[in-house]
Amino acid sequence: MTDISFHIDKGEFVFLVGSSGAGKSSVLKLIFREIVADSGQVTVLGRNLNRMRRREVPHLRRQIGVVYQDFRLLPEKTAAENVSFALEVIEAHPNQIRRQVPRVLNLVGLGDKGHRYPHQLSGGEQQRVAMARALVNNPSLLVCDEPTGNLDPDTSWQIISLLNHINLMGTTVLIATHDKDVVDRMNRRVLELQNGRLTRDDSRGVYRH
Amino acid sequence: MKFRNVAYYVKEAATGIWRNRLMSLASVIVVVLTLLILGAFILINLNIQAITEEIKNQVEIVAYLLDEADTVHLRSELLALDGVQQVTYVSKEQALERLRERLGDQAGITEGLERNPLPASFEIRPQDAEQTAALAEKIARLSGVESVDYGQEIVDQLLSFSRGIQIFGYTVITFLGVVSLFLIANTIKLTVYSRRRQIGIMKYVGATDWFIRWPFILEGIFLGLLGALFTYLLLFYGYTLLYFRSSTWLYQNFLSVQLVVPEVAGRELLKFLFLMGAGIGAVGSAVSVRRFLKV
Repeated sequence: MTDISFHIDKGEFVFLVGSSGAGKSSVLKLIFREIVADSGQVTVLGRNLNRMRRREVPHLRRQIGVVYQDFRLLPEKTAAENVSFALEVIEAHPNQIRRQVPRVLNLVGLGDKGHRYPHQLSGGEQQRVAMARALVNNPSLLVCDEPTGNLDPDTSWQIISLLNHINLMGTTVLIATHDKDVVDRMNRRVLELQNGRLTRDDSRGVYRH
Repeated sequence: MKFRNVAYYVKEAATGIWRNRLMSLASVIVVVLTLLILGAFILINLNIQAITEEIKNQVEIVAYLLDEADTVHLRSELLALDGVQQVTYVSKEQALERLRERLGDQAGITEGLERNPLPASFEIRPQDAEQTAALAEKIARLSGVESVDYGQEIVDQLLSFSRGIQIFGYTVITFLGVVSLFLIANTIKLTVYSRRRQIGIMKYVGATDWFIRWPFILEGIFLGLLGALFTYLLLFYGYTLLYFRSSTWLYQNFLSVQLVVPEVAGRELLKFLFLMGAGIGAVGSAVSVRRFLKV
């Protein structure tokens, strides 16, 4: 990847588009510090990731929620357990877990389905659980990698609306996608990648000109 | 480490063992098999050490004296030498008495002697058996000493034999230790692999590496200790049996040689097996988790 330079302000809602292999996932991995840039600078939430030490990475990730195309839920845990797991493993206080889990489940519209296992939920509902898990620690930034890739158009739109709702409540949202309908309909800021280069940055864009 | 976390680690480790109970059983069996070999070796080594130690303690330098030797002066000279533990004087009369005892029925042949032909001697016990030869040489140079005798060949052979055994022992123990480490690491890798999805999620939500590692390490330690316990019971029972079966036979054939008593050997064995079991388990699982933490 070369020539990629952009800045996202707090509270923005941004699409990252481009065909497969254009570098969308790599950009997300850089933000999430799964990989480190060998040249150039990556600054996330005011912190220089090039110089961040390995043991500081968990603390960065606690402020970034991630949602994936394949949901990545634990099949042997219920929806509520999947969400509380994310807090347990960052050593959150039990009181916080008791308070936060029902709150985010309600936020994503699954207040009454917390006791269900992933296989008892539809694809859209499973993605909502994944979003609840990403949001439960109140991250400042939510990063989504093809969040609607496995969903039908109606469900996709519901998920995107939910992301919009979350954005309106103050969370910065970055979505990597090649879902043309969604991007065109939202008409928000679009960053386009082609062959590892940033080719477009429209403040109110569509999927393609 | 917070108590709440410890409870979580233990719960996760127990879940891991239960969910992969066949695999866990296999790991325990592997631990038992390797520790059986290691433990048997420890017992053999322990006994060889005890026997060499015992024989070393019996090593003695005998300095035969000229009849005109100044025994009082010589004794103080001997005691002043480095590495001398104990000095016993045997007079000409005592030497003759000992000879008579040894001859038993034929003691009569000494009656015809005009004068006592046996020299007086000092029996010197060295502090360190390894220094026997050097010490004997020094003693031979003292005035009044006619000759020294310390069963050179036997002592030298024994010392090189026990040195050889120890080097061989440590080599085998190290080798087997490394082999069993790999076996455990591979087994635990399977339980880690079956939970790679969970580890991945933990990394994404910002769990620290140690938080992720601990349950697996506990799991490894637990499996290692369980294996050590079974091994200990098997070996201790077997050794006790061997000890009682062999003691009469050894007594008849080798006089002073005895196996190390089961209580003492058992204590050594327990210490070794538990340390080894826990160590193998902990290191093995730490090695297995490492690859999955690089996310």
